[in-house]
Amino acid sequence: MSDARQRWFAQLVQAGLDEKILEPADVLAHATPEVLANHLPPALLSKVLASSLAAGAMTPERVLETVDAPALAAHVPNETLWACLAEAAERAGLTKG
Amino acid sequence: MDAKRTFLARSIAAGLECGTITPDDVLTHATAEVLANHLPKDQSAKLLAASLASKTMTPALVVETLGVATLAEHLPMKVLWGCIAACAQRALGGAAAVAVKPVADTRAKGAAGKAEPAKDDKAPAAKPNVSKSSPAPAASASSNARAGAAYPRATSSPPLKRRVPQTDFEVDTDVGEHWPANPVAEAEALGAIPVVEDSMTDWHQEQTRDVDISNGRKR
Repeated sequence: MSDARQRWFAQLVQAGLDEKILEPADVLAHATPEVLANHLPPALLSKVLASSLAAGAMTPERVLETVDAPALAAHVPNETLWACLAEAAERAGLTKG
Repeated sequence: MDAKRTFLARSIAAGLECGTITPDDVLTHATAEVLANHLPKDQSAKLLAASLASKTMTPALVVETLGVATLAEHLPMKVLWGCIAACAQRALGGAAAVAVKPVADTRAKGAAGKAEPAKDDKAPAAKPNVSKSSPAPAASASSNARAGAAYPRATSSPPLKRRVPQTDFEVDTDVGEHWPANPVAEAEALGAIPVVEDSMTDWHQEQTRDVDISNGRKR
């Protein structure tokens, strides 16, 4: 996975979240628990579990607090992130307007 | 600028910064016709002046002079997204993105140099023509269908090689003189628990005594 692509995808996801084109739930709809479990390094997965256990609940928002956009782009297949972004863009009308 | 256009501006700016989008990519989508029909007069004048001053007219000059924010503010969103999508496809799938064509801008068909009213924004958009040989996403097929041609598509995985068992050898079962003359005595000498034959059960005999296998009745 190229560094440039990773950095760009991290910024795409971050911009999407900042501008409300994407919601954390949209990201988790593509970066599913199975995807995360298979691609996150054990240390990061452990942080996700620990923070959720400490809070007593696991929400998409909490997951993305730990697995931020750069971490997503670094570990989750960029094809998955692109699918998420493309769906959000279509939903937001960016492909039509 | 609204959130959608801010997102598009940030995405293109980040792509230019990372090198995943080039000024050429931008101008492939934001063609001269698109620029002429959508840029405000003052921005068009700025571009002309900059080009005349430098005696060049390159995609880099256009992007540098106008800036991503101006492009994102005035150009149709589908044109901007088309550029992002094409570059993402290329970044994900290499040669697959070569087949991505720029989005047709319906407004560009209006009078030269004069933008038509915003009603054309609702005209059906031509989607980017994405090659079907794009790489596979990890997303579900249904989500791919929803996002249409903007998604990378699955490629077939390489065929699995069949393992051929290596059985080209012989097993030598002749232990010859190594077989002990009295295996029980030798085992006991080595510390094994002695076998008391009366305590052993012949399970084969037990089964055939209880059940007649041929007709399933107990004897």
